[in-house]
Amino acid sequence: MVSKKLNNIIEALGKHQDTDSVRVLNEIGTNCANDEVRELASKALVKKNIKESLEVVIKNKGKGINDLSARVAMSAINELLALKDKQIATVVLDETINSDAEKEVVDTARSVKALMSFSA
Amino acid sequence: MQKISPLRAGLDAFNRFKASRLQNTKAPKTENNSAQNSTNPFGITFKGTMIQMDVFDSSTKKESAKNPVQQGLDSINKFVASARAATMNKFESIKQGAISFGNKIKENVTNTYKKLATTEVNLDFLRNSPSRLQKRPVSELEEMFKSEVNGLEA
Repeated sequence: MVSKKLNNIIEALGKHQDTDSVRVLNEIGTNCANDEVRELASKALVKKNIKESLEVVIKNKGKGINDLSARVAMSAINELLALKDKQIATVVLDETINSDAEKEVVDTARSVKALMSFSA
Repeated sequence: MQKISPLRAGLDAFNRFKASRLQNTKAPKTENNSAQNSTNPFGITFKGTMIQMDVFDSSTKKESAKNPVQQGLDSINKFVASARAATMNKFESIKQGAISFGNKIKENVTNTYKKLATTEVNLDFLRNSPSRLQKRPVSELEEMFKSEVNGLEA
């Protein structure tokens, strides 16, 4: 169970104006062994809704929507679908689909984009 | 057949008279009890004894031949005095209730003060709120994040 303080730190990093917060969430949050911390970090990165943060959760294998934990991946996808402004997310997903990334990553990005078009 | 002597007949008559006297003295007592209740409608007691309305009679008044109007006025006066005494009794009980209520409040306030004096107020939840944390530099948050994650994994 994640402490309230840790929850608040991740939330604060998600709302922080400094883009360096993306690096901190990526390095410490999405690489953490604890599923709950990875889930919170992924959600915070999606909520930031900037290109740098969305690239972390969409393009990287084992992080965000590509996480090995189904719970973490589904949370990130749900957060993407809940975004009011999906423009940046759509751009990043398109880039991922058209990139030379691993097949699994491309397939996941394609599925999420399909879901996003249905939910829009 | 027993022969009754004049002396014995006189003794028997005296015994009968004594028995009837005893009966007569017992019967009015019950009437007196009911009279007591009727003359004390407010049920005022003093040391467990029911106080009669007669106690409100003036000790200095002169016994004289009274007309019915005067007797009626006297009984009204007694009734009013009895009611006044009952009201005073009620005020006394209300006063006691108020004093005990005040004492209880005072005791509660004292207990609360003692509890507050021995309680440590922890304001960490305010200091670590997200709105406050996001005003801090990222490097500081990074350190906090690392220490929390290390604590979680340990």
